Amino acid sequence: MKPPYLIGIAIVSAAIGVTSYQLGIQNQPKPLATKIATVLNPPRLMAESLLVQHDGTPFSNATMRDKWTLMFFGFTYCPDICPTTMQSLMNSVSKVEQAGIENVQVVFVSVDPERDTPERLREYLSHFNEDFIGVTGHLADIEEFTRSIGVVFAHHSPDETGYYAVDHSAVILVINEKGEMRGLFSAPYNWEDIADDLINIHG
Amino acid sequence: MSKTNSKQQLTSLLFSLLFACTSYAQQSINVSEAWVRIPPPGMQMMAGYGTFTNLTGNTIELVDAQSVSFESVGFHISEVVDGISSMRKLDSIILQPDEPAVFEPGSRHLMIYTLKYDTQPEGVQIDFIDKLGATHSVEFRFLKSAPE
Ligand SMILES: [Cu+2]
Repeated sequence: MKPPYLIGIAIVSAAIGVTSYQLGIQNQPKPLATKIATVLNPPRLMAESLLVQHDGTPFSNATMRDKWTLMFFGFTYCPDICPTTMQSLMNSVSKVEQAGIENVQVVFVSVDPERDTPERLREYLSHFNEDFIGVTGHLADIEEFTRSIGVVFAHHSPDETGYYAVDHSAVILVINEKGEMRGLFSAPYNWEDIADDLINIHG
Repeated sequence: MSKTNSKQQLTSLLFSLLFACTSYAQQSINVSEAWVRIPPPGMQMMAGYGTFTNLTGNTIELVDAQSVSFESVGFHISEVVDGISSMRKLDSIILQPDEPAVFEPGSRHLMIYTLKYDTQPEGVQIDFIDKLGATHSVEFRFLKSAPE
């Protein structure tokens, strides 16, 4: 059922991505105590990309400067996992804000640029939170960006209605005020733990 | 005038008989907290959830789902395997007696395509067809997120 090349990519990314995270953690004396988050010590600089935000402006590390970013990967034609995660992030952000942390933002990176135009992303995200940022671009640029951070995805072939699903890493990245990857949440996660860990990591 | 009235009475009697038959058929399955996620604007696909309970003493296998309100309804499951989330079709749902089958976000769900109306109603009926050909009708509410 699963496309074989996806498994290949997943294994490679597990080897280069997750292992390097874990090595990073082992090299450090004392990791932060979190409920579910994996914390990266030291934080990892995010690669620049050629992607665009839903308002048409370039997406770069400057988008993430001075903010704490929760970054999720998905596609708007996903009826279950993606809206569920966006709903969770909406709740997490409001809990974090109630704790007095105002500079948290959510970035949704599309892994389906053919259907997810900037306009489509704007419409989709406004359903959850007007401040959520959608990011899309050329497929090759999305692949390059996701590969650089160990995130994978693969498109299925269309069904009889023309609909196709996209398999993708179920990961939420935590990016700090300097635009560095500070941690990540691997599924399964719930909004309360995400909020509590983010408050903790934010410090 | 009275002719019209008796005609109306007859029609309503027929309707209630029909309704009685439908609800009789419904009794073999109960779905609690049945809801359909309100899709974001412009989105034509959505997921439905609920807890299915088989009220009979026999196994019920649901092989199809349909609704006059939607273009199509099917059974799906989302899974996260090795950190990758994916979704696939399920051919049928087996309901064992006294063993509730949970459809919830991030797991089993009804995969629903295209509401046929311009305005979203408060609720919709979805009909489930079992292997023996019996229909089980369930009312679903439209909600933005899971009921508390
Ligand atoms: Cu589905």
